[in-house]
Amino acid sequence: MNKAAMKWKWMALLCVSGIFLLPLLLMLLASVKPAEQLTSDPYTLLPDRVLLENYRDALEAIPYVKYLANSIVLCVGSVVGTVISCSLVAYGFARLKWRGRNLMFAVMIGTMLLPWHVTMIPRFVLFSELGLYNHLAAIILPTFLGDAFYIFLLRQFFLSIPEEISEAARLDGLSELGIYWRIILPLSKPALITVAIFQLVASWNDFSGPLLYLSDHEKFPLAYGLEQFVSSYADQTHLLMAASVMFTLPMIILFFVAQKSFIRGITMTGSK
Amino acid sequence: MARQLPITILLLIAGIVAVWGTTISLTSETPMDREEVVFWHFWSGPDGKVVDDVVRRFNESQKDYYVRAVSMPGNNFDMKLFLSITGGDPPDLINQDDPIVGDWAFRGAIYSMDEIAPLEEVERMRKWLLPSARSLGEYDGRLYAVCNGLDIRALYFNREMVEEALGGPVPVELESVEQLDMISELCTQYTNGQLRQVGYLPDPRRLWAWGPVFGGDFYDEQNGRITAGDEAIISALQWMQGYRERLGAHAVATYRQNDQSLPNKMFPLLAARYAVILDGQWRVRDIEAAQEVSRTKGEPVTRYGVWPLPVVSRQGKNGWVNGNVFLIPRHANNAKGAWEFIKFWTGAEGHEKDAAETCAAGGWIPVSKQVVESIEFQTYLNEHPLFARFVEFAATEQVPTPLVPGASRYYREVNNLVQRVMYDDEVVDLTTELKILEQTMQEHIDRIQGRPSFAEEHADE
Repeated sequence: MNKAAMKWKWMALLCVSGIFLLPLLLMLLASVKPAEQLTSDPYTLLPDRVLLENYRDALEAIPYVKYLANSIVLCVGSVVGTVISCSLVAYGFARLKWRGRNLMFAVMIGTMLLPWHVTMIPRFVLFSELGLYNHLAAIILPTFLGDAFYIFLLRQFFLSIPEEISEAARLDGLSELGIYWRIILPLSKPALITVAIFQLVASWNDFSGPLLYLSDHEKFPLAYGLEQFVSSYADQTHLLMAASVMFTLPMIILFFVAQKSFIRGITMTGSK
Repeated sequence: MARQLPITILLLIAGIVAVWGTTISLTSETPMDREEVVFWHFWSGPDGKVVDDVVRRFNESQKDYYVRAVSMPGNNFDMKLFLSITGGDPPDLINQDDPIVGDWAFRGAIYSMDEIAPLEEVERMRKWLLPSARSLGEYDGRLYAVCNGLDIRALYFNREMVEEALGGPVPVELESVEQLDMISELCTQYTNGQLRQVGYLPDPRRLWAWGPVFGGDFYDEQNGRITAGDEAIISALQWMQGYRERLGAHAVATYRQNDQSLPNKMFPLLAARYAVILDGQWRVRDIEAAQEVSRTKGEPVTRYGVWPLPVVSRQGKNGWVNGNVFLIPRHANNAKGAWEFIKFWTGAEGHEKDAAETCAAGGWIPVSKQVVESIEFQTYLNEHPLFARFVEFAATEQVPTPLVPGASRYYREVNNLVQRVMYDDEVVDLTTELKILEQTMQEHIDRIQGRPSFAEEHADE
């Protein structure tokens, strides 16, 4: 590619990036604008004066640290649950031969077609009968029961690992669980990290789970706690924007820290 | 190793925050010798502080009960409540908007107050409440909800605009809707054929107010019939339609759409888009804040006033009321404690002074004459004359949306029809459409109540 073409390519990429960054930029700028500017002159891009106090006020309006801690507990618990359960099930579908395997796999894939709302009430009744209503466990526990999409993703990855490696391990006397733990999992790090990141983002943004199972604000995660701003702070956009920046920030930091894994995950699944 | 450092640091920070967060408690421990009352509400921000203060004062005044207030996100509040009942852990008290009272009472989701409190106290409460407040909580002759704050609508006007249009002083009250029409016409202005300023424009959601003012009833309580096709309601809708005919459906729709795009739900009266507008008492705060900004900047301060809705017919009511109500969900663990808190908040049984303090702090309309007349609240009213007018109107005959099962749908269907009448190009036959709506809603409500529908009752005829 010659220099001119390269230049145009860069220009186009910058423009597209700018379009995608614009909402974030507007959020950031609005978060430091005075409230009266957002009311009287909302279309001016730059703030009249930078008000970092908006962040302090937003932090005072909601128990940010408490909600953040709950989000972290939910994220960590869900990621652990998802990675353990999905990799085990995927191993069963990819590396073990048993009657009805393909049928069961098709049934499992079929569950992806069920909208969350269909299973919402039966799940709620089940977990409330188990005494888990108003406990974070009600959100974490289901992740230990697998997820069709992640199982599919991991199965496909496990299938790409040569069967000869497992055969050799078997000849050396390693059990199936040993092969899974000592051979397959270490070779599947990229896929496992991808699943972990996807689940982390999903748990971080999860609104429906807390809406369904949690009724005590001591247990609210950030994604649900911020809803209080939406319903009660409709006319305090500056605080809502400051709170939104603080909600988005941990994910942005995580993205930069684990950028390579994120990108690998996107290329692996072919989706965002 | 160096590559792992950022992730390690991140995990370390996450761990510290998680541990730190678990040590934070948002609520103080319920004292051992008291019973806990869990109260769900949807207030936060400045209103949330008012609620926290009421709760603090109640807890300080109590030996038996301890209220733990939980601010719930407003969206999906209903779903949350029903799930908590299913989950066996409902709150003891909730705050909700009034249209659900009939529905929830019929479904048995809430207690009637006489089920949880001494009958004589409930009777005293009924008599003590303003009629408008009482009407928001009564279903099938029983008190299922206690109103904790009334929302009253009246006609705000920009005194400068109206004075200029009339070329003289502004009337204290409007004598008729024709006078409102006249003022509206005088204040409406165009630029290049486009509406620049409107005198008055009926809001499609406010047939609920104008219908009763014209002498109509949306529900015949004695016979349990929907009466949306009432002659007076048709007349009210015809009058509203007159604005659309004079200004044009497209112009009306566009103008209203532009109201929605005002930043931060700004009161359109303050943006000088209207000379007269029908809205609730909470706008007084917006007006006072805008006037304060003008004073601070040394700019001329625009004066505003409030008119009650004009009298149209001898049978006519004074307007439409809605508000927030206290409800006690069925299977609540501590309904008695919830009742005590209701009395404290509303001011019943000797708590007038406390209620006056609450209403003054929140800018809320008290639900009883006794609270209004307390010295504390009178002082507040003297400082806020515009708000005082709404308090005055609250004591007049204000009617709510009928408290029947399916009331929320009834409310929505009426609004949708009026929206069509006001905004669409098609000419709507008002009588036919209102009669169809009446029949549809009657069937809907009959279905809910399991009664034979009108059609089934008349199958032999």
